[in-house]
Amino acid sequence: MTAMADISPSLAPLRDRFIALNATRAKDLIELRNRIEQGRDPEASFLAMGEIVHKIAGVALTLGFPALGLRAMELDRVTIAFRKKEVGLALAWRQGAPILDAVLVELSA
Amino acid sequence: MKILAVDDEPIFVEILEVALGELGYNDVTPAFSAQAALREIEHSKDTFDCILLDIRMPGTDGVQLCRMIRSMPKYNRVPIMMVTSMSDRSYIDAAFNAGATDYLNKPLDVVELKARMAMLARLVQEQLRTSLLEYRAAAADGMVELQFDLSTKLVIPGYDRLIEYLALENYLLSLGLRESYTASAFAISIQNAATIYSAATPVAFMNMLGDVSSCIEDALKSTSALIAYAGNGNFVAVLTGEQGRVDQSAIQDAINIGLEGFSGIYLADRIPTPDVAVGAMVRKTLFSRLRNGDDLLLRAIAAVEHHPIAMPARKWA
Repeated sequence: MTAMADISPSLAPLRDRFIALNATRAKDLIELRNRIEQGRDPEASFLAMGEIVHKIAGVALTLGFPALGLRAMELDRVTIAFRKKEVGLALAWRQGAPILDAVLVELSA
Repeated sequence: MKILAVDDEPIFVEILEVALGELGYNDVTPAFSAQAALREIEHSKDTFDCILLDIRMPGTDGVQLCRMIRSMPKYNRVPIMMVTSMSDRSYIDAAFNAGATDYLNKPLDVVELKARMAMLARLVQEQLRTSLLEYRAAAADGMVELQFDLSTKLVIPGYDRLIEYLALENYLLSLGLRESYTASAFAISIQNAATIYSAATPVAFMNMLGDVSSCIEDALKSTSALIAYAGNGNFVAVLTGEQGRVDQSAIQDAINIGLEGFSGIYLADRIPTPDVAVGAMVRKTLFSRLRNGDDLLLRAIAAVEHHPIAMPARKWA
């Protein structure tokens, strides 16, 4: 996770735990991507992806990972649009897949 | 201040605990779901002074939880601050409708948290004072102790659409630039409030405000207006988007007709029946230079004071 910003020293232990937790979340996101691409309950998988990136976004920005936080927020917005039926799954996934790749790059950096 | 912090992301709750601790708020109870929060509320020996709720949670979300907490008599006034990320903006209207007092943005900004918590602490103190007055009034069988000025922005409990004035200000502040231009407000004024105030006991005055609240809710039931009591006999209603087109004359008539139904009570209390006037709709314009949440509300009140839609005939019980 790149471009760490300065945060309060008292939050540093939480940042370490967040990094450790994100290893699991990266695996979960990859599994959900596979499910979507293989047509295995793609709607539910896309929404589950939204729940994960929503959690990442709020904490990442607070703990000083702006690049990850902003990418996660961007993907969250796409999943919200899908949940509100403003876009169909095909379009949402076309928009969301490259953002997911960027999130995964940030998670592995 | 005893705080309940609810978020399905445990790390975010810990961040809140650390940040609040650094600001001197050390009594924070964490809960990671709506169900866990309800259990904490049920089993806590003391009432929480303030509740922080994440909007988006799986299962029962923060807005639903807010509504459930507000329905509990012990929690009908406790400040509830929603915690929301930018992508949740569309949920904010629903949160204020469900009884939220304020909102806090994710990512967490310590300066913003400090300001919001200071405001909530003041609110908690005010409410403590009000509760004490009410307790004394009840103990004295409603005789004397409940005291407030005519200008006090009283909280009128028991009406779904009525929120605290402060919460309505916070709601207006929560609107983005584009949304703020779609917001409109109008005031509903009890023209003879000062006369009623000087003739009535505090309890009778509060009851009269409750009657007016009930009639306003009925008159605005086809809209999703948020309403607050602004003191001095004035209520303010805020609408957003297309709802901004309402017939104020019809609303005024409906409220005054509704109040006729209470005239027997006012006769017994020896006070005049409230005379209600509805003011012109005001909205933000490119040139209006509204800075604070209450600027729009103050303009709406000024509009009713100077230019009511039509002055009703004064009725005396």
